[in-house]
Amino acid sequence: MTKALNVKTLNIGSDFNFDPSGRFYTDGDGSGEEFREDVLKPKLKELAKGEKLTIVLDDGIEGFGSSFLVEGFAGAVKHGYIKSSDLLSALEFEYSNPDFKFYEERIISYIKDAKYDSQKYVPSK
Amino acid sequence: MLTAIVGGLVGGITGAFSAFVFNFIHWKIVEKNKSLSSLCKLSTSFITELENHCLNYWLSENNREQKRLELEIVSMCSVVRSLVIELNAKSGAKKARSELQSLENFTIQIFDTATGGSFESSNRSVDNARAAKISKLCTNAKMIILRLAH
Repeated sequence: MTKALNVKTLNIGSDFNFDPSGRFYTDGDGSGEEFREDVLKPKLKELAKGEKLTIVLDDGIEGFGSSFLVEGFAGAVKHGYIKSSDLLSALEFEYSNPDFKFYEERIISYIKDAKYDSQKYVPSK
Repeated sequence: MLTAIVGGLVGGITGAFSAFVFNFIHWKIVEKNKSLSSLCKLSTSFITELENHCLNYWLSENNREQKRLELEIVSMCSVVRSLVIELNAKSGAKKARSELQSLENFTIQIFDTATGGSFESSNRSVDNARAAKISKLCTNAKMIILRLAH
């Protein structure tokens, strides 16, 4: 019997912040840097080989700015935590509002465009 | 005699039916054009509103209005995206395909530009170059919609 792949879930609203906004810690609560460092990075580390992380985008969230999305997702590649191809294969996106497909596509595009380990991470706080 | 009457009747019915079909198609086209034209007007007006919010935001320092403008910019980007999807569905003309593709690209570029950089940052400063780019993108989009409307 094949063991089913375990899928972990990260709900941006309930597990992080219902008002995700800004790029850096210094921009206030719910920034992209805070999301990446305090939530996404640890969740990615917990993943076993072949496991996926499902990101729930629209639960209690009205929308995102690109500053948050770039820093939160593409930042993980830029600071050398994970290669873009590995990040793309580790992530899955879930939403019930079809308008959020746009955000999924933007996240994928930002991750693809990010250069691996191109910038040393210096915390903003 | 009977043949002439039947022939006349058939001719009359055929003529009336043709006139009905012609009218029906004509008014369908008129309605479609009217609805496309009003959708174009609505899209132009929302793009202008989005442009105004963006310029107010990027051409001024942080102020009390900042949070309100940030929320409006994100939601207006979303409304403009929905309108472009509807325009795409309604116009459907093959000749307008490249124009519609340009409008789809606009929705991506305006989102990346208007909500990028130091958007939602407490240390945000005036960004003239970004404001100019936003204005140019919006003007180009309105020109494309104008062409679609005619």
